[in-house]
Amino acid sequence: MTGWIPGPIWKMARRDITRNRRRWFASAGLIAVAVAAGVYATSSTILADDESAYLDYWYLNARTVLSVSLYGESTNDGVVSVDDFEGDISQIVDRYGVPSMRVVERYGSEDFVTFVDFAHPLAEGHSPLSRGRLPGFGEVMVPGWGPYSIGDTVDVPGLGDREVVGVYRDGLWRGVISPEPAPDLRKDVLLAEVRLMYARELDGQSAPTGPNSIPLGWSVELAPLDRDSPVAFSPYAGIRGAGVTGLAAAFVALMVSAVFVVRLRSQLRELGLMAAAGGGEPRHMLLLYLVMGGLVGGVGAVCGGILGIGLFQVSMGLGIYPWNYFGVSNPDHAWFRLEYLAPMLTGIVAAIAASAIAAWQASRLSVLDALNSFIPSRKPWRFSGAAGISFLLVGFIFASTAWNATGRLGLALGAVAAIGILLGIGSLGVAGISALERTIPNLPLWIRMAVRDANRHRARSGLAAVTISVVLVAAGLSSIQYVEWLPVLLYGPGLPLWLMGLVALIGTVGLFVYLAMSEVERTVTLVGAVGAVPRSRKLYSGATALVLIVTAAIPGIPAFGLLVLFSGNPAARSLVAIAGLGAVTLVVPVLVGLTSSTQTRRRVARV
Amino acid sequence: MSVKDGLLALLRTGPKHGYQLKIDFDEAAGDTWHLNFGQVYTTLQRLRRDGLVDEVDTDVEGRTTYRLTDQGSVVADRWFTTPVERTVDNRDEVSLKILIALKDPGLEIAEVLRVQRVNTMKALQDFTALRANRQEEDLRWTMHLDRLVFLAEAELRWIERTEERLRVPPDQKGVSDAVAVAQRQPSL
Amino acid sequence: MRLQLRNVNRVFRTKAGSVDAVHDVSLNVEPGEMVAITGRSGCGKTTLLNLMGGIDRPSSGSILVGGWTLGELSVRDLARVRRNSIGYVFQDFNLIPTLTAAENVAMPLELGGMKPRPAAEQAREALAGVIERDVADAFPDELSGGQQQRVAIARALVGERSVLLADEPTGALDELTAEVIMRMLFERAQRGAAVVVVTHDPGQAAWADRVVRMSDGVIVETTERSATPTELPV
Repeated sequence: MTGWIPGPIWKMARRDITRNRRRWFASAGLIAVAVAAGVYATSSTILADDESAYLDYWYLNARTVLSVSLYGESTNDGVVSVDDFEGDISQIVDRYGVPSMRVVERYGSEDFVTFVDFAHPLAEGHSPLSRGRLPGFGEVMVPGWGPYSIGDTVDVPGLGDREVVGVYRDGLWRGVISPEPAPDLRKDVLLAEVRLMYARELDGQSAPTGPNSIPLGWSVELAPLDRDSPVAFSPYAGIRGAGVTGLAAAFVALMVSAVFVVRLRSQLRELGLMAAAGGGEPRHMLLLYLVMGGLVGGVGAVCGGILGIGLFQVSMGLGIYPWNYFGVSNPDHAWFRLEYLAPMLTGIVAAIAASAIAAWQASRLSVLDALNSFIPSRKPWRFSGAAGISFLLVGFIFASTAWNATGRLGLALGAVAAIGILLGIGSLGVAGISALERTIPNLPLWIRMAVRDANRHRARSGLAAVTISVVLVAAGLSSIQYVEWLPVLLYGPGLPLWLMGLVALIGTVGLFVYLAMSEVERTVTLVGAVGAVPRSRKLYSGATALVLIVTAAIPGIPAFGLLVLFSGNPAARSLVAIAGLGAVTLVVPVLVGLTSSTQTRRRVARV
Repeated sequence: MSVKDGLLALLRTGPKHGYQLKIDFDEAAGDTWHLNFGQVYTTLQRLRRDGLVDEVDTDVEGRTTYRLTDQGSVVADRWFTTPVERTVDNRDEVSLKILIALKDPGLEIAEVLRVQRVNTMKALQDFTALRANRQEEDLRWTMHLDRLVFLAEAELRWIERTEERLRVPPDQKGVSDAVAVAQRQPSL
Repeated sequence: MRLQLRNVNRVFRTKAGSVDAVHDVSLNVEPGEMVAITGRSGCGKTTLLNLMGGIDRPSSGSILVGGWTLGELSVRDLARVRRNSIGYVFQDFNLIPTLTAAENVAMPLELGGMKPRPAAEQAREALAGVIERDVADAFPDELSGGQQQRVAIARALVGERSVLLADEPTGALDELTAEVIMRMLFERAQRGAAVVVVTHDPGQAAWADRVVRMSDGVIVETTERSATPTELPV
């Protein structure tokens, strides 16, 4: 280790962490949470056999006995009558004697598709094991990884090669195959999509017979489930784990990078000494921060791994299976799986990436400035507001294109969109903070101080603004269902992103206020001493929190609004209106500040 | 201070004869104040007359040993317990020269100050080197050099302060601040 | 190692105009010589020291340390020259708080690629006679101000380093501790180092063989001590 990393660097990094425990353990804790989420999300497993085994496993455990998708105008939730549907589903009603059905899922952003689920006596004592179709009732859904196109041949487990006769996709690609031509299908019935599960002999029990049994359209040969089949890593778990880990790690990296930037500011003198008295080179400064990042990441990754595994084992014990695809009960109780290393490594990488901004800044310091603990303040770019809006626009244009693109192209477009949106938010944040400073003269002392602090330490406050905005955007995303290029939203509506966003928002504001407080401790104490304000700390931290939220809201709320607009959700649309109002109320003080500053300038000029 | 007080103080530690008193005095003064024996002798005579010391005996070599009387002890003790009154030395040549130079518009006062400062600085350097090069521990000598160092420092400070008062009008004091700020600008 | 400054200028440009912080300064500091730079605050003495130490670059003129012309070196090479030839002592906060006294001294060696063990040995050698053996493993916050300065001096001359630059090294210390520190610098010079001390205090400046006085970026006068003072100059 010492060959590659000079001894002093290694020791400084290590001791810095043990000496500033609160700061670094909070950072490592953040990393740990992200890693734990990733490990947990990666922990679900399937049987190794093949996809068919997997699907069998699914059916074996399916809650749904009979699930019928009906295309029809449904205007209400809850119990619907079959009459609510345009299509003729009398055959279903006749056959199964189902006068009403429970709507279990509203599907898609448009209003005409509804999943209907009803229990059937067939379910009692039996597990449906296979699937097929009711004669005369359209198609069988084939979940899969697509993309499919009409005319493709799909190898359907249990059915062999089938032609795809229709395609649609939600989060998941589904090919619709026609097992056999059904010329006598009526048009309206064609629209009804039936997913049936056939009863099958299982464990010696025979399939029910009688008036309510489902007639088989064809015979399906299924190998008995091999329970001793080795457990395999589920590709779905992989995708989901990658998504959760990626999002959590990116978010946490943003927060931790602020910790590093603040640390850099309090460590300038040390770096100056290292350069002046120790002959340290820029690469040494760079290395110092990267090593600290690696250490924080390492601690966080190990803790997170343990936490995630513990969480998984506890939830297994409680009978809560981590997010398995279609409710498959997890066959694997293994304590450790090689795949957990992926989120753990991601945690380390995220921490190192978080230290990169500070590391880069450290390597570019002028020795003299560092010795004087002085960072030259840069004026915010005059056009940062305009640039921010442009970035946001470009980001959203890309996003809208990415919406309909798939595969790598969609991913690339999505990445470009995300970068554009982040840059836009960042620039708007900077513009917002400097606009805030102009509102100063008439604000209370504490807010005035907090605003100036935010403006002087833009590296910290800008990051805070971006992070909080990202939280808002994430909350906005949660209203959008089925976003293909975000794997974590694969089964979107189930993820309470808004709740996670809220928690993250509180956490973020807390962290940044803590960071601001640790940096302006002296000022606050001084003001407390001079002005004898006993609550100076509380006042200051309150003001800082307020400034952070306001700053973040400037870019965050419009971004949130635009996202919600995309979702096409009527409830979400009404949120847009609220967000718009919020944005307008924020614009007012900024405008007031702009005009008041010109007035002050004029007054000065006159004097 | 007078020689009288010094001799009385030296007798506090026990009876001494005149020559011993001279040696002790010179040593205590760090070889900076040499008494001649006549001065010691006349002072002792005067002290005896005032009843502050009396003679103990005279040895074979004819040296008379003196000791403190009770009254003499009181005076000697009082000398230690009362502070020396501060007297302002208005007759210091350096300050006099500069104060007179101020009155003479034809003189380049900065040059007068500079010449004196160089000289005092050199003296200060020499004192410091003397103090530094003295290998054996000689507390009294070091203390004496300390005093000379501080006096020279005081003079240097006074010259510098004077120079500053004469040179920089108060409203231009900001210039050096501007330099200080400018020096903090990024450079590498 | 000799330190040579030839017609060195340092101009700072600000919005208010440019300021000549150091103007046309030429100065030689020979090995075994101790030079003090003195003057009012803002006279350019610290800037001059920073130029000598290669943490600032001259606007014109040349600064030679050993065979190197500092102004022409890359940031990296400059760091190397600092590491191998130049030691720095500041007024306070000289030591890296997360490194022990010995590790602080070993830092320049280890950053230069020396293995930890020989570096630690050299550091202990440099510290011997400077501070008590048992505080070599103490962290800076466990050391007194004077001890910290002594460690800084040991670091400044560890290894092959032979140019010692000190910026108000006694500014934060009491009189007697200050004397100990100045004596230490004085002795380092006597043992062959080139020592430059910046101070506004004439009493500290007087330790030097040569006192250089600056005003407005220019050397206005130089005072040299008598060659070997043996008795009082009365």
